Amino acid sequence: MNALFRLQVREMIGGKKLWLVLLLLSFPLLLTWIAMSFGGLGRLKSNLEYREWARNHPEEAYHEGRQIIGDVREGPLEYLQGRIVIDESGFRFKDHHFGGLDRWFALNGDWLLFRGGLLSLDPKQETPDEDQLMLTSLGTDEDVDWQTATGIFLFTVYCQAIAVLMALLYASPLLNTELEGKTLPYLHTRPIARWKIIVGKFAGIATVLTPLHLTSLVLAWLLLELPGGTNLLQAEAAAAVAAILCYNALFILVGYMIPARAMIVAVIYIVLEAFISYVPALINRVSVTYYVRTLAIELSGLIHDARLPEELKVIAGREPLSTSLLVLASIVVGSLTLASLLAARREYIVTEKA
Amino acid sequence: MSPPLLKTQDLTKLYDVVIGVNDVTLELSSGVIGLLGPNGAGKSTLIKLMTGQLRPSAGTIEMFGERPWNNPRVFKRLGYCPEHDAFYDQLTGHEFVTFLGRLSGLGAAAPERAEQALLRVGAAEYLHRPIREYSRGMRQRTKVAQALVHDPDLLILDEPLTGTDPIGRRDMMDLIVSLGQEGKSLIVSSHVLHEVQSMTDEFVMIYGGRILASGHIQEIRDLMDEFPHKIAVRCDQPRRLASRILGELPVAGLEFDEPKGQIEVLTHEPTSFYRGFAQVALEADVAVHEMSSQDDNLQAVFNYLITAR
Repeated sequence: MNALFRLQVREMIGGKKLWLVLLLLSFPLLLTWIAMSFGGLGRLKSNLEYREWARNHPEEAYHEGRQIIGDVREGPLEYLQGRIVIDESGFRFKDHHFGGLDRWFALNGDWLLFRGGLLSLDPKQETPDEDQLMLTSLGTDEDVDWQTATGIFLFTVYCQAIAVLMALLYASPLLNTELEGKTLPYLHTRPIARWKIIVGKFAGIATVLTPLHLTSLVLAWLLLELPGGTNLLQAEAAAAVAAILCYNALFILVGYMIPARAMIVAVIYIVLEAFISYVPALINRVSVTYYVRTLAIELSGLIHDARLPEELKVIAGREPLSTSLLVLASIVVGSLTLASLLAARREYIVTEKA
Repeated sequence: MSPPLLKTQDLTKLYDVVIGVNDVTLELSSGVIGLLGPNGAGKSTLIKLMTGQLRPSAGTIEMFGERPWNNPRVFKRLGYCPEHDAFYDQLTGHEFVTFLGRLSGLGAAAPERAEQALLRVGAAEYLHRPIREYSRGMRQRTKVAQALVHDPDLLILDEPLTGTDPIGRRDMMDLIVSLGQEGKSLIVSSHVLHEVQSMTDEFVMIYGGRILASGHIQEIRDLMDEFPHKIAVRCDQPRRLASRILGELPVAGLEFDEPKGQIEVLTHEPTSFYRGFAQVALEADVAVHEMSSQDDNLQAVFNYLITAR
């Protein structure tokens, strides 16, 4: 098993292959930088800083706001259907209407890159009373805060997108690579149980991906200026490790079920799960994401601090920590066990065509 | 009394509706045995059944008295050299054989045993070079080394001579013969009678998934003389080589395949041809890239046997 572990590590990072893994894991850092420099996270940060200033200087903020709202009321009607936006340029109405897909994304919290920003642009008040509108946006705690927004961002990027993408690339083709490379007979004619082949390779994948993944996560957290302190980082790291283990085990199973089409099936699963995990009913409990998400929420304390927007509270789930851990561990063990049973019973034939 | 190496009873293997092996009843004891049949005859299917990669659709198969499917006890006593030219290319030959030695339970002794196995097959000079840089002949030897590394009781070599150059072919044949002389049991598959005859006199002849004949090779050797043997040679100067071959070796016909840089020779005396070929190529100063025997004449013998049955 140790030999298979080492071979798998070598397969993933041997020669120039390490660069591919590093490139993949530098992608979320690039996303983080874009979100901070040009996207919603950067805008949210400016908003929050402005709100902090407005809270400390209420009179100046009030008069500034009234003046801008007064200016806007002179303009066309659709301005009033917009939302208040506060950014580095000041406090103003923005010519933007959050309808259709944008609103859907904002409400469902599934906008990969700009979600944190969109939530900040979605104040709850829709009254035409300009005073109330302004005060709402000027610093009440009803809107999303920095820790929650960055927590959601890091979770989406690292636990959902990158962990799943890595499993798709490395775990789902695990068997098919041996079949297409015609190397499987070397393994299946040796006096080693097939479950050891699977566990050895799984351990190799997890050992390579976990430290690199966590390093990238820590760097992103530093780029975001340490939001939520180590508490948030630990929660995100634990969720990321859980996601790596679960998705890799699950996609190895998919690979043993349908070797030639494992990647296609895994992609279909990812798309389906992205929808299912946000359905606010029992059905979201059949997704891996649901339990990884509740693990992150429980560990970071976001729910208990009541800082999640109401829309997200409904879909986030509130499983106890022990339940999440138990289910996630069962997914890993169950997937690897089923894959081992398949490997022991099914013929995997290397052909010229393969 | 120890059980036979291989024992099958009414063994059948179906791939959906295609028959790979059909109702084979066979018993093989120790020694070097040639498994002879044209491409698609069922040799590889039979070997995959022997090595536990496939399960019988009907009938039974036993290796050393045990069913081979997913059976570590059988795999401990078995060394398998697959027909495919497949490796973990990023590894060196030594790392590759060491890895498979570890899977065979050699533990800390694996590196040393791998080195011994590679030296045994004449791979000393490229021990620590990546396999992706190997020639076809070097790759074949490395495949045999991995089958030998754990010192198994039985070696099963599936088409071990495919793609080798004349020198590599001769070395591989010498290796197989010497392993047999050391007391190892071997099953060697080939679609070329001449190759099998150079290594052993014992054969099993398979065609259409059925065993046509088994026993001493001389029985079909006599039949072979009626049919010309076809040999393809790929080299850098085919015309030059052809003119020398025509003058110095027993040739019944010769064809050019200019785009491939290949000549195809028909001969009734393959043994004499092979014996003299290396010298002729050397004197003509021609670089031979590949030499392979076609199975046309063997096909003719099979057709004859099938008609005669």
